[in-house]
Amino acid sequence: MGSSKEARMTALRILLLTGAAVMIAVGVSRGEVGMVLKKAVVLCLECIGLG
Amino acid sequence: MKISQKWKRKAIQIAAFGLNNCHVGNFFQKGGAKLYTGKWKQFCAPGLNCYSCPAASLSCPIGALQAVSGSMKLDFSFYVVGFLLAVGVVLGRWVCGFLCPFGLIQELFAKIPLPKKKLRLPRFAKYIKYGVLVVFVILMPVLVTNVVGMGDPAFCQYICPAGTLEGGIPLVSTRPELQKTVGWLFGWKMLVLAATVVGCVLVYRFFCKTLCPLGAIYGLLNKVSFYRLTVDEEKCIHCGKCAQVCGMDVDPVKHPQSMECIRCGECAKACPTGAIRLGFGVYRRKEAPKEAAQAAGAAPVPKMEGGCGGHCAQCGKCGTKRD
Repeated sequence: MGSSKEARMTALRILLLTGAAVMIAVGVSRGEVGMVLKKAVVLCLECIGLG
Repeated sequence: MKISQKWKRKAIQIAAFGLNNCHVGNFFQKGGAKLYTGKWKQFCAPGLNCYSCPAASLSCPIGALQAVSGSMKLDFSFYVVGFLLAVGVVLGRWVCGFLCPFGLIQELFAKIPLPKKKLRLPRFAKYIKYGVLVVFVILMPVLVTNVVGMGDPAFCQYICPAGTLEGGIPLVSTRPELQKTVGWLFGWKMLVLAATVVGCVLVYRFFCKTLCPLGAIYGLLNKVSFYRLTVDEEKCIHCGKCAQVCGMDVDPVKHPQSMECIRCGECAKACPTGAIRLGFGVYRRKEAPKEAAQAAGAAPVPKMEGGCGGHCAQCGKCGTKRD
């Protein structure tokens, strides 16, 4: 793989990781963590085929 | 004592399974199995593991994604998508090969011996999981809603065999109040689970190949992930052994960043010249091809007409045998 192609790939990966970090921060600020916890600690009837 | 790559992978898989399902005591609670309700469940596991399994310590990312997008307030989960993006960019489908609890379960089913050779799926089958991701995980929880605007987790509800196996069976079998609510949906999910088990016995990682939406997400990110498979073209003698041993039906020489590759490392182990490497970053060859081939145990042979030339890896394609 050429070095310029590799450099572009590295830049894309860093961009995606930065995007991921921003998305997690946005999600946390919107209270999504609490929503995930709330869903996970009660029995999900749909998940087990009863809902 | 040197531990082989196969056993290292198994050890990591078992450790990941244990960490995802460390609350085993919850199966044996008074009054039936109960869920773990601690704070760790606000975090997603990287692999597929039902959060309604009594032993589960983390949330299932696919279940969490649908729970947020199917809620009244929000239609998209930045938290879960960001998490999956981060994990996928770093590791790609290495998660499927090493960290996914349901992946390990499928490999155990594949150990069931068969009188006939394992089957290969038709080419189109690998694209079904992308349809499952779009329709059941992304669209249905947002578009198919009830009167108050809440959508059901359609993938969990109609497809996920992990939920039936890890959550449905232990909960329904130990809690009489749940047994009364069993209906056609539970029957359908048991049918999907039975089909998945039969599929996994006949085809290596049947569910990963055909239906898993998490595998679809990580597969797309395999193309760009930091963890990569690299083939040294100068060392490769195109003997085809890597493609022969691949359980996911990938030819690593032709498609090193295939969306199907779960980075199990079987191809690297089978390569007679050590041309395949799995790891982070770019492969920089340190030794000359001839020296590398000799280090791999291949003896130099005279160049033959139509043969590979240079060095012999005993692939047998040329029809000659080494003394």
